[in-house]
Amino acid sequence: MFRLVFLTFHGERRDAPSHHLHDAPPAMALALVVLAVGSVLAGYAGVPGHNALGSWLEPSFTARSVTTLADAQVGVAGEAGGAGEASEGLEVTLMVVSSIVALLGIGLAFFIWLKRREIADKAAATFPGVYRLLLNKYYVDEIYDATIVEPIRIVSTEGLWRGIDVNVIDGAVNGTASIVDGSSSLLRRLQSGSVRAYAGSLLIGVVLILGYYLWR
Amino acid sequence: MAVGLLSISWLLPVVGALLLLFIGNADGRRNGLIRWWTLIVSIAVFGVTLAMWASFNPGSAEFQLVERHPWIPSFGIDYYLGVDGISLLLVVLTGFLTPIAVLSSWIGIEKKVKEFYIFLLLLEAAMIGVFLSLDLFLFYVFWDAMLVPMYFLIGIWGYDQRIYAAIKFMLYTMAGSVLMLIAILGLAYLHNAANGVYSFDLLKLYTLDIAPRTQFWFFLAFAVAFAIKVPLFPFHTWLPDAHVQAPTAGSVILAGVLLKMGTYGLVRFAFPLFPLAAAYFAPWIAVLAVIGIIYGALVAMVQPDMKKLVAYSSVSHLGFVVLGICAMNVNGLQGAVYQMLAHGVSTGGLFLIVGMLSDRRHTRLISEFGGLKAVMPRLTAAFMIITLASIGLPGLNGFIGEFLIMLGAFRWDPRYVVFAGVGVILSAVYMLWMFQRVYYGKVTHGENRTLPDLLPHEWSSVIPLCAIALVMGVFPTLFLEPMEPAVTRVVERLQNTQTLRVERERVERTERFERFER
Repeated sequence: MFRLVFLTFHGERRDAPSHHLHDAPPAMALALVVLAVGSVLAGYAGVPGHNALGSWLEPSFTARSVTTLADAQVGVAGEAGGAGEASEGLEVTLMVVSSIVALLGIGLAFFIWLKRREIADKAAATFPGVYRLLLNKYYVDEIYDATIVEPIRIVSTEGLWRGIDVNVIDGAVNGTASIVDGSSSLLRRLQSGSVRAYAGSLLIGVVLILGYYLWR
Repeated sequence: MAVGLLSISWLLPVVGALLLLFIGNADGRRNGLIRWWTLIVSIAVFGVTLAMWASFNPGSAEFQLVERHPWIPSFGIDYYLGVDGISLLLVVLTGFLTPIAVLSSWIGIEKKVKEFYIFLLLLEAAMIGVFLSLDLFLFYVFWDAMLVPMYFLIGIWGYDQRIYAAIKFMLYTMAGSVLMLIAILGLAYLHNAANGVYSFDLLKLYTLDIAPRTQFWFFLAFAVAFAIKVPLFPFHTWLPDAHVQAPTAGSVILAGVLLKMGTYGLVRFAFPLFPLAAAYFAPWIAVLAVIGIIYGALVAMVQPDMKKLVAYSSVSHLGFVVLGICAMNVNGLQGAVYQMLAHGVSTGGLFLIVGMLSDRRHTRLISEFGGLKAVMPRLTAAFMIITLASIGLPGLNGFIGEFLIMLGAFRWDPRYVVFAGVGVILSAVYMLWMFQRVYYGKVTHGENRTLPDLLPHEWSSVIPLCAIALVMGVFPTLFLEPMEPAVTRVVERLQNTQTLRVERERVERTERFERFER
């Protein structure tokens, strides 16, 4: 976060001087002020000992997890003492530790990006693999693309559409039509219009049927 | 003989078409007059369907506004019309989409304008007739009558492969409906065997007690006819051809109304006439429906042609409708009917706007477009709304139907819903991906730079579609309320017969057992 802050608002201007920069118009500024005031003050609603939100959603939800954890630790250590106090102590410790970590982070960002910019570039040059991996967001998008998006697209195009839909299903539909068409053009040859051929086949038929009954 | 509202609703377009015959238009001089006349007639029909809705009692499950006159008494064939909550809404949908179809061909159709509009009006009459018929013979007449104008619409005014598509559409549907005709005759015969008179009266045939084996075959005959129309995988290959080759108005009507005749047939005839066979087949049909949902979506995703993409998306969406019907509970069936209406609006809209692009550029390939957002922002906005409606964004029409269907199917068997859910994701993939390629990015083809935005007649067809998509998404009760009693009755009928059957088998088993004991 503070790399963003330092690079954006501190140090030298890196954009073209022709760009006209101006402060936020009132509508935007007002929204930002509200959010800023809120983000400074909101945390104090849950200060240990004066927790205004701890029982807000009771009885639907109860703040048990922290207490139980603390209880368990107290139980293992075999120490006497109120569970509530132990949990408050834990909370305060966590608050202090996380504030220190955050301040260290800000300090580090201040040092690297405002004082010694070359450290960042050197780090990127020393570990090019790591730098590229981070720059490309661990390649998650590319992995999705290769394992899910492309296979679905290819299977849908070549398999489902061109393969099954056009060839198999519609092939069966059009195939039925061609079978009817083909057998009709075969049968059509029987209807030659030649009276002699008709008379001949009639004769053969009579002979066959009579022959069948006589022979039997 | 008084002519009721229902008769007027299908006779009005017929009369309108007949009067068009008397307008001489050999040189195309009266094209404008013909267009306006058809528009006025179709809007009047829409008005009649709305009047039907106004005089409809939403609290009742019975058929209403019934008209009945003997037609061929010796065979028990009647002219018998009536509406319930399910057919009412489909008739209103037909009335709503026809003026939009008329507007969609305002400038796109330039040859044989009079004939085109005559066929369009006759088509509307046949579709309304299909939804209103309560006599199976009459139903069959309308069912086949509808094929003829559609055949000519595709075959004369279609794109380059129109003859192939028209013949395929006609033969495929005919093959299915002939099987249905045999089953219809069989039903009349059974009625004669049981009661001594022939009858094609749907309500009387509902009460027939048909042996399970007969139900099996009759259900199959009806279901195949309707499955082709829906179309259910793997009977769908006529659809991409017919949809793509048809002129825009034909595609709008095909996707918007004709496909619903298949699912309507399942709800009105196949399932309630043969409840035992329905229970037997439902899991298998649902499997085909789910395959259709995913398969249709995947194939839609990779289509280079916009119209074909929308056509395959219909296979996917209609799979949801069939799944809801197979669930055979109130949620599933309500969702199915709602999804029919929603799909009619949103896919009708998609074909409409794709048709506008195709009229402008004479190509439908996605790769020929790109960056249209800058050229035609209003058309882009309209397409965005319809796209989101089609995907099923909450607040638009597609969501309600899909949600109810999944709810109903989940109560029946959650496994189907797991797979159907994939289809919802894929529908977002193929629709948004197309949207991105057509409308965003840079204009890659110079000729796209000068395309005009929405024209007045296009505004008047796009606005009602977007408005109704929003209304259906926000006030679903408006449509769910009138259909509820009818849907409940279908479900009760299905479940009662099935439990009766189980009960009777149990009694028979115990009787056999007792005999054995003695």
